[in-house]
Amino acid sequence: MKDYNKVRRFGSLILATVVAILTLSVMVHATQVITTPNAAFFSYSLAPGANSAPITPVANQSVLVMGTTTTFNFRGVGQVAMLHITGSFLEWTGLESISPSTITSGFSGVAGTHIVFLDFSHQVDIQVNTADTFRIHNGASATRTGNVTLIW
Amino acid sequence: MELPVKNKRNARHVWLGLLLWTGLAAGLLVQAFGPHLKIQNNKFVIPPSLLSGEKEVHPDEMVARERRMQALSGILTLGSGLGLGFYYRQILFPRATLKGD
Repeated sequence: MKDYNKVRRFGSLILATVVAILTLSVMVHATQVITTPNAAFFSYSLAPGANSAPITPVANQSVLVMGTTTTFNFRGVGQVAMLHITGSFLEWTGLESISPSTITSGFSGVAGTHIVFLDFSHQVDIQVNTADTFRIHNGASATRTGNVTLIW
Repeated sequence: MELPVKNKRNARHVWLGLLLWTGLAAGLLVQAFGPHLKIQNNKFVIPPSLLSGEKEVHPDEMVARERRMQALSGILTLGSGLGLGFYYRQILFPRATLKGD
């Protein structure tokens, strides 16, 4: 009877340890997700002339959109602060990628309107896709890779 | 007259245990089948497959959904875990319970 109690207690402690470990791991992950700021990171790899999927920025508040091209010989970086008015337009102001890095600003809901260049040779850019979305466009004659970060 | 009251108490006790185990299982299931956005350098990484598709990507909604699921999973798991610890306190801490008695 004593042995049975010992085994029972040992089993209970193991089960309790498993539950505690599972609970802690869930809590660690949940805490990490909840405390991570509102920032999304997209990687792209676009064939010549291709567009990325449309991206919808959060509406009625400023969104920082910054992007890079990491393809060798064409590396660049650009950024804009963007405002999305649902169903109407996207509005932006920021800096083009270098060579030369000039101010880019405007507002539009028309597909294809240039927003900001992301590469050195000004062939990869972020464009208006619809009044509510933008896209990454590769206007170069070869594949370009890079990433875009949104902070809101 | 005493027996039915005791039975009622036992039944309530069993139901509480079942509820706590169900809560823990639900929390773990939400965790297992949640959206699971990767986090890198303090940013949510949107799967590249989404960007190469045709469908609109809503990063704010994806992040909000991930947060909701994680909060739900955390509350269910932590609440049930603590509840189970209390529920089985007599088995887990037999001496402490005796002292308390």
